[in-house]
Amino acid sequence: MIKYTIKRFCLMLFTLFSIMTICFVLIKSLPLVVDVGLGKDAEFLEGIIEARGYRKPVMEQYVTYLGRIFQGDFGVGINMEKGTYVLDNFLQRLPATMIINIYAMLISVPVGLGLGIFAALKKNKWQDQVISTGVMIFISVPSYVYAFLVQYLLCFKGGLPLQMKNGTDWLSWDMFVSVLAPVLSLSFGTIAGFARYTRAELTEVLTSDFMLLARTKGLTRGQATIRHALRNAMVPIFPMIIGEFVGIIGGSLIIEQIFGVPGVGRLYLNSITTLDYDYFMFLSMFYTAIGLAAGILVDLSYGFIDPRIRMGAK
Amino acid sequence: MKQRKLIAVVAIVLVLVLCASVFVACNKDEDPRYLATTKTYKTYASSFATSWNVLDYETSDQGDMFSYSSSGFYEFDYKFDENGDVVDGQFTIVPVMASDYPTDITAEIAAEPDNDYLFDEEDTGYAWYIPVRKGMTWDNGDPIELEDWIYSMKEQLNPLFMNYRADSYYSSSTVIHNAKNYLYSGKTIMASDDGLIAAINGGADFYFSPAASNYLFGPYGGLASSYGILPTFDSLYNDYFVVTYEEQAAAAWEAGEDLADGAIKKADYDTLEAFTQAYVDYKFTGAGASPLRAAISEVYTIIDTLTPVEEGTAAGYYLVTDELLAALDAVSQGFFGGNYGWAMCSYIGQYPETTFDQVGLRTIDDGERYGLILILDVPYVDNGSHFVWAYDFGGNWLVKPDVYEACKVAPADGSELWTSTYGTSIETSPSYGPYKLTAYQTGKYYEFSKNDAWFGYSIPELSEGYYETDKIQCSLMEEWDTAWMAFQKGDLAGIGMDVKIADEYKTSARAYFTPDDYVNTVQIQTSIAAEPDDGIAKEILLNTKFRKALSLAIDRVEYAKQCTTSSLAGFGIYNSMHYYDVENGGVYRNTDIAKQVICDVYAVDVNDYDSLDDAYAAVVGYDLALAKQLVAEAIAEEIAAGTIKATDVLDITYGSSVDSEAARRPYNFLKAAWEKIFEGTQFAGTGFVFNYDGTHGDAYANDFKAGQYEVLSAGWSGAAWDPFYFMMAYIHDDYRYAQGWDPRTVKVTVTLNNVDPETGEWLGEGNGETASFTMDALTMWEELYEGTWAEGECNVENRLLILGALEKTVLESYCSIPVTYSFGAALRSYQIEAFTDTYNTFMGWGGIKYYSYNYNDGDWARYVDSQNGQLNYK
Amino acid sequence: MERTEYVINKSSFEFVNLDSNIHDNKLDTKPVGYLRDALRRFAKNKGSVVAAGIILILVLFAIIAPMASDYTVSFRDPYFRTTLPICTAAKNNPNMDFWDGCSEVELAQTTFELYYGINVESGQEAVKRGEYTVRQVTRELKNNKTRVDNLYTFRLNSYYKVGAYYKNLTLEEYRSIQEYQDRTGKQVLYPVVAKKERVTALLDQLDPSTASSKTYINDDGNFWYKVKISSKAPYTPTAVFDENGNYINNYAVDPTSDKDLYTSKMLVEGDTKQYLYGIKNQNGFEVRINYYEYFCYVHYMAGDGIESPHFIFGTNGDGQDIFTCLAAGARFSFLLAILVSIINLTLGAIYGAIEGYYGGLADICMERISDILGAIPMMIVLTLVRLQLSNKTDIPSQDIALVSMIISFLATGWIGMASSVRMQFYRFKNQEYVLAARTLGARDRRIILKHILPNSLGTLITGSVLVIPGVMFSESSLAYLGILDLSTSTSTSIGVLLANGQPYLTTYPHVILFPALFISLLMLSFNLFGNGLRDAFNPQLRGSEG
Repeated sequence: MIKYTIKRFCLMLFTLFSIMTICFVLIKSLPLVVDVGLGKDAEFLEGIIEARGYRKPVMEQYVTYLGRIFQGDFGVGINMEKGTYVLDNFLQRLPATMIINIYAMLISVPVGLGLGIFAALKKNKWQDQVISTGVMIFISVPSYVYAFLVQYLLCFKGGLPLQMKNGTDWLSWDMFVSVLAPVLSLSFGTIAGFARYTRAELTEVLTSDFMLLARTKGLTRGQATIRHALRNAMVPIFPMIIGEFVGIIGGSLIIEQIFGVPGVGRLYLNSITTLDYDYFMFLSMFYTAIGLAAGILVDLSYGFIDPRIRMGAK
Repeated sequence: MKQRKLIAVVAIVLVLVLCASVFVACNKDEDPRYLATTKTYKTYASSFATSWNVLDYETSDQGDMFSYSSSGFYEFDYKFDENGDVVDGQFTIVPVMASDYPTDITAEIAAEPDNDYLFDEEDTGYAWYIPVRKGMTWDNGDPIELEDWIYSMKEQLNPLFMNYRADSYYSSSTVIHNAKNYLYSGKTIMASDDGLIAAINGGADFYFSPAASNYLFGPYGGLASSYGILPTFDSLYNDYFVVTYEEQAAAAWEAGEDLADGAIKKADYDTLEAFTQAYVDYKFTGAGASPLRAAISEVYTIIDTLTPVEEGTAAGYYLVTDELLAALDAVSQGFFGGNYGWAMCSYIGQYPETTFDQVGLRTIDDGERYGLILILDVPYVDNGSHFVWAYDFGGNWLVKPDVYEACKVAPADGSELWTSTYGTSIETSPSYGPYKLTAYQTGKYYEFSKNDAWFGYSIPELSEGYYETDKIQCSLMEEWDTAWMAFQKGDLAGIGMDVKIADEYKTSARAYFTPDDYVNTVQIQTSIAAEPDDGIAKEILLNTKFRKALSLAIDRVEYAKQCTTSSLAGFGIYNSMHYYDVENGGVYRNTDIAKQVICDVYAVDVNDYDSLDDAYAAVVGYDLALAKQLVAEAIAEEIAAGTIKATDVLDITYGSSVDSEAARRPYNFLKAAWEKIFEGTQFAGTGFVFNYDGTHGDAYANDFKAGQYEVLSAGWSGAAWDPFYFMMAYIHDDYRYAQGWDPRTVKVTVTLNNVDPETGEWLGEGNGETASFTMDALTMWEELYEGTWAEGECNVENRLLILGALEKTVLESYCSIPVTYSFGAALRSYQIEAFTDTYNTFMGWGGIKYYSYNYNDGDWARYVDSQNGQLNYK
Repeated sequence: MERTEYVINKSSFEFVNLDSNIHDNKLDTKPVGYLRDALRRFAKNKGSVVAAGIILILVLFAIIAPMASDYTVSFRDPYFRTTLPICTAAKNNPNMDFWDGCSEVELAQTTFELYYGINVESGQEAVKRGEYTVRQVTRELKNNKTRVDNLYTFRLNSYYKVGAYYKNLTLEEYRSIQEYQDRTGKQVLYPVVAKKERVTALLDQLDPSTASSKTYINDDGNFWYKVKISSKAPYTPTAVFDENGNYINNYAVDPTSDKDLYTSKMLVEGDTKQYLYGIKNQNGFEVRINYYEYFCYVHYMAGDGIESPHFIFGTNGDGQDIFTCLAAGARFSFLLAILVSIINLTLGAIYGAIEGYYGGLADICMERISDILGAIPMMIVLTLVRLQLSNKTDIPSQDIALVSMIISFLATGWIGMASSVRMQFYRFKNQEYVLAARTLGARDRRIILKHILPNSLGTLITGSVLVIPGVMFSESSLAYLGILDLSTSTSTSIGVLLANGQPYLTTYPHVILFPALFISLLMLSFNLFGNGLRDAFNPQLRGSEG
């Protein structure tokens, strides 16, 4: 297993590098436009771009960029977050996104799994129908719609604050109260997703032969479900949990925009639209690395959950 | 067993949520918020700046950040009548960091030994002494020294940083002596200015490039194109040659004479057309062709044999060989009648090595005078109201030297630019204004609190009875709806009135309306290549009658209602916010000259009405009958001229930076309006294809100028107090949307009084005579802006006559068709009152200095809770 | 003990059917193929059958509704923006206050008087049934003075509230409207108010500096009655009533004016031909038209079958009929989503199958490729494709958004499907029966197609079926974030309707209600349908009526 993990890790580095190269070439191929306002000296503005070296050939810029990265200098924002260090700004914004998503995870994973299992056990009974319809509603309504409804009903009409509290006292009580609305909006989607997926997997497993065998062996319904059905159903569910964990870093762009969460969600989109190269490269690398690491974790988890799937075996 | 545990988990979570909201709601009476006595101005922004370096800022978000923590030399203030009431529409100028108004010391400075100034003793307005207050300090108590301003200007123009704001001290109204030379010190560029002769005589190499050489071969084609070598545009060709030849032929035909000393005999031709055509051919390709054509093609054949310089300053140029020079001389012979081939070349010019002490900004502290000396290349005119000082020196370029030095960041490899982290956090934002930055969370909120060390608080006329606001809090709210809910819960001091709530709230007692100097125009593309047989009739856009029809087809009242949130029908380049004489409230649009222009352009005959005002009021800019007639005439003309065919389809595209419901409203409106006037012509029904292309993003302006699409709704705003300068946006090559319409070829006639008939110079009231002048639009504008009729050289009446003639010319080109004037509508919270009920052009609504409070924060919280958390602004 | 022998004599036997030959009787039930069995099992599951029905209804709605409705997607009425839904039942029964195109509002005096004025002048009940209640509210003013204001609560009809406004007509239009009035007996033109008397002009005298902006109130058209304007800011106009509380009309009376060629018989109540119905101007005539009636006139002349403004689901922010847009949008989104999901399904299945089945080196490399492709942000692919298309090719601009969206979905869309197929293969690859098949010498292709794929068909189907609403979803988020707008002047999509509806959530919720209902119903039915399909296609359930 160790040998396999190392192999996968080297492969990940290779993939990361190739993705980085592709992203760099892609972002540099978008045209850089000089906007001459009234009373501005066009020659001077063009000079600024020249001096930044953005008119040099792409590969030359890429080599210098790689050189900078290995010295740990991730550059300074030029348009979007002008004059701020990419790394510092990102780290300043990360806690807000983490807080929201961690609370959302704490609520949605257990509730989602619980509902999924309950629905699967009570298949086609009224509880199953109720849960399924509830799940459908939250899956099918776009997040910016129910996020807005939550803000309107809970915050405007109810007593909760409209936006996340100012300040960086992340774990204080006021912060928790101010964060309830975005957390709820974020967790509806995840709860619905988990519930639907768990129910689908579990119903499939419950009808398989080994369950029959387990019951004939005399296991009680509960024991059979937990020991056999759940473990087998976890094969596809576990990566979803990991995938959700990766989502934490990405942050939900729409929820952060509506509830004024100073998170990292918006950074990535802005870096593309304003062609802020250093921010874009840093964020692409960061998200890709997290995604690939999660990919490896998921593959390893197969072996752990279902011994029969030993990775690498023919 | 399993389910019970799960249900328990769900229950706990729900209880948690419920008690949290209950806790927040019921905790009312002993609320600490009621005790607060501070007065906080709470506002919001939809986007945030992360850095606000006064030397390098680009956006208005960044500008707002340091507006609270800095002071200008001078600022506008209200004018009060004797019993203390505000006089509407007037202003006074108050020295803030300056201790008194500037004095003109041009003569004293001109007397300095061997100076390189552009003025001498007799001139005025070039050099000024600005007295500065003593004893001013930064927010941490360090004194503000005169040297700080020198240090700051040195950093503003520092070539290593290339700060974005550097060019505002040489390329707009404030031109500090040698500022550009210091910024470009030692830099090499290709130049063809008067230094060319000295360089050539000095034996330096000189280069030639068709694209970059002077007017002859320039991008606008010049003569080369008129000989069909660079087929870019032919209107010059028409004016300089064909028109003259046609006139000569017609005159000869009337008089019955022959042309070209007998070469073209009148008797040989039976129709004038044939006679003229023969004469034109003779003058161009026939025996009489001037040597110019041959010479120009010779230049191009030589260039093909040479190889351009690869890189360095002269990249893309050709080193001028003797053979090339001879060919250039032949061209200049044909055109100028002399061997001036060299005048079409460029040399590698170099900006002089300039040290900062040569720049026109110095300190003076000789016991009697304490302040700054400013030396300009373009004079300032201060006719007593000191308006120009508040207009140009309301802001400030001051930075704190020790903090700024610490914030310098060396260039990362791959780039040669230094950057700075000045103005990105509390520590790097020293304040010398009424407030200082006390809290900043990136992407969330910032807060300014009173800066007790501000010198202004100890000066009664600057702060007595003002600055009631203790704190300014601004939070980021990207969604308008969230801000609207926050406003109704009393968390915001004001909010813009979105169209969704306009019906219910526009008659609210707390609504206020702000006029804007933005004029929205429909731009019609005029740089269109002639392709007669491509089945598409785009060329008809070049027909002025057709464009006039497009303009008259727009019902501007309906356009304002249907396509915009808050605007009025608009007819001219300027609206009611453009002042030609700011000091005594002279609005250009309200002058008789301006009204007459509008009546003429929109075909309203003044004699049909009792007065000019009545005629002006009757202008609707919408005349379906006339528009239909013009369309028919234009089509007939173009078919006759062969530029379009009777079967052609008008397939044009409306371009925009974004594709959204709101962005499409003008497109839908124009489509319906133009379809109506095309009825009965070949463009009716499927003959008119109008596409929408919202993929241009920020490059929409450059794409339009490059001719990528045909219709754009855009506009200009800014320079509301200098309409003469603002005309640049419609005439100057760099800014003009109508690239196909060349102001060099359009003749403008204006009749001025009290002027010298030859030079047009204004000779003062009573002397000189009334004379009319005809010149091309661009030259007339240059004369108006900085030539014989510039401010200070000519009286206002004549300048207005010229401006009117220019506006009429631009409007009658129908390339930029004004449609609406816009203004803003907003709601103000019950907590705060503005200083005046009416809008003042210079003071706006007063700003933070003048806000007064009906409630302090504590009482406001109690009042909001008494309305159970939701205020009614209907 | 001995055995006794039983003797059965021959005669007690007889031949059963000597005359006909015996054979198995024909199988009366046909062989149950895989699909028929799946269909039967599918029919058992009530939920998914209902779901299939709903999907069918939605598809039929998407196809038939645009034909049935009078309006088209390109229909835009600039004055009936965010008009409320109205059903024919409510239109005929004035006492029905549900789905009647009206909404409960609470407004200040000036606006209430304006709407009530429409009732009085044109008889159109902007204030429904003329019923309203008043409540007083005290306002806190500068240096703690207070003022008492009236707030009126009533049901405002969103069709009649537009009332009248000033419009420029040519002479022909002016005459044609008069003929229409005489023919149909409907009052379109109303007397004008003299320019000097209009609210805008009155405001000009009070506060010239911002007066031009006060015309933001631009409801001049509905101020047909005499008003007085407060001398201090905010200069709100309030009605002046005569002794018995009626409005006093402010119509222009100009007997000498020959400019008015009003010859129609339709006159406003109380008019003995002394009021002026049009002022001559550059273009023809400035008249005051009642927009509701003018709408009927315009469509009557166009003969496009629209009698009166009647929007079953109301209109959106741009004045489009939501009912038609929803159907057209659904049709467009369905086609797009089905296309994308089919291609994703095939591509993903093939890629995943190979990857999952062969494992080892193949799996590692293919995994890397899909990682790399998956990591490239879709946003960039979208922007890049759009830029390349707009300046390189001559595809018409409105199709560029569609083409770039399809390309960016296809470039990375199938990776999700591939990984789920790969996971299924890992699950079944080592099952006993696959081992058995391999020992019997089945080639790889047969094992994949015959043994593993059908087993994973269940998840595959559910996955691909859920891609359909998924595509609509991502399209709507892209539209919301302003990255991509698939709507053109003649077509729209569900995603765009959802995104454009979101800003009106708190003010005009009906705009987003119907698209959201549609996509929820769609998602609900697709999911139940997917579950039903998965159980139906699950070979393990064959025979067991579980």
